[in-house]
Amino acid sequence: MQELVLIQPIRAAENECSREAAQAVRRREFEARLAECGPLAFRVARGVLRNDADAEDVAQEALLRAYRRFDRLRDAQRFRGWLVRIVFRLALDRARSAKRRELRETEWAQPARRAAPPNAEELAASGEFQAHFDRAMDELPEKLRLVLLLAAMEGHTLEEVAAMLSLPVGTVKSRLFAGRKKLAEKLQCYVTNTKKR
Amino acid sequence: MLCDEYKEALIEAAASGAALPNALREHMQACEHCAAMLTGERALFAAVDAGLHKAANAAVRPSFVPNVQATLATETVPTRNPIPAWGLVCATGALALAAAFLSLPRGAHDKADTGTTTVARRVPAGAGEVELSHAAARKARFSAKAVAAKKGQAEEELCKGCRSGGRRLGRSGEARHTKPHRGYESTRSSS
Repeated sequence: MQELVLIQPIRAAENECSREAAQAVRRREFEARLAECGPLAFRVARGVLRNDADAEDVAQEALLRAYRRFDRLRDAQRFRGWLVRIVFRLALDRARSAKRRELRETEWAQPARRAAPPNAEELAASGEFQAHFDRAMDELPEKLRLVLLLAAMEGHTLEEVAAMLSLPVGTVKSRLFAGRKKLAEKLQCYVTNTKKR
Repeated sequence: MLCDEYKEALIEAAASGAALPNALREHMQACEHCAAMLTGERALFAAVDAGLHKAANAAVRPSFVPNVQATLATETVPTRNPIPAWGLVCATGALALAAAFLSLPRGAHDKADTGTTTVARRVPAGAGEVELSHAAARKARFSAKAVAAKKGQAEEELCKGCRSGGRRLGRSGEARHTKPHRGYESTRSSS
C-alpha cells in the first residue's frame, strides 16, 4: 500500500510530461503546416465571403478547429484538402447567416433610411460587374464553386486540386468547365441588359 | 436558322479557348453576326476568368499567420477520452435493453424463446395443467405419424394383393381375403 502511494504521483508526473511532450510535437507539426496552409485557408474564406475581416475570422476559426482535431487526421498528406473543406463549410455558414441578418434588417428598415440608388456612372465606378459576378458566384452549386476557387488560385494545377478534393482529374475538369459556363450564362444577361441600356 | 446550329459549338469554343473546328471557322468567315458573337463570348469568358482570379487570390495580411500562431499558443487541446462518447451511449443503451428484458415476466421469456415452446393442455379430470415441452410434443406427434404410416402401408400392400385378385395371408397365417374385394378403394376415398 505504501509502495502504491509512492509510485502513483511519479506515474502521474510521467504521464503529464509525456502528454506535454506529445502536445509540443503536435503543435510544432501543425505550425509547420500553418505557414503553408494559412494563406490557402484565408483565400478560400475570402472567395466565399468577399470580405477580408470576415475571411480572417473564419480562417482562424477553421485553423483552430483543425488544430484541435489534428490527431484525428489519419493521413497527414490530406491535410490541405481536409482544411479546405473545413474552411469552405464554415465560410458558407457565415455567409448564410450574414444573408439572413441582412434580410431581417432590410425588412425592418424604414424606407426613408434606404440609400438613394446611384446613377449609371456611379454604378460603373462602384464595380457593377463585380457585384453581378459575386451574385452569380453565390448562386453556383457549392461543388462547382469550390473547384472554381481552388483552380483559380495561383500555383494550383488541376492535378493538385483533384488531389486536394480527392476527386479524379476528369471530374475536376468537367466541374471547372461547367462552372465557368454557368457563370458566363448568368453574366450574359447582365451584359445584354447593359448593351440595351 | 443556320447560325443557331453553330451557337453551341461557338460557346464551347469560347469556353475552352481551343481552336475552332473547320466548319465553324468557315461559317465565321462568312457570317459577321456569329463572328461578333464569338468575340463577345471570348470577352465574357475572359472577364469571368479575371473575376475568378481576383476573388481567389486576395492578398493575405502579413500579420495573419503570426496572429493564428499566437492564438494556438494559448490553446489547450483537451486530451481525448480513450472511450469515445458514442461508445458510452451504446453501452448504456445495451444495459438498458438488458434490464428491460430481464424485468419481463417469466412467461414472456418462454414465449420469446423459440427453442422451448411450452404447450399447455387442459386435462378434463381436473388434474390441473400439464405442460409438455415442445420436444416431447414433437416426439409424440412423430410417433403417431409413424404408426399411421405403417398401418397405411400394410393396408396398401393388402389392397395391391386384392387388386391383383390373388390370395394373401396375414401375419398369423389366416386368409384375410378370399376374393378380390371391390369397393375398398371407394370406401377409402369416401372416408
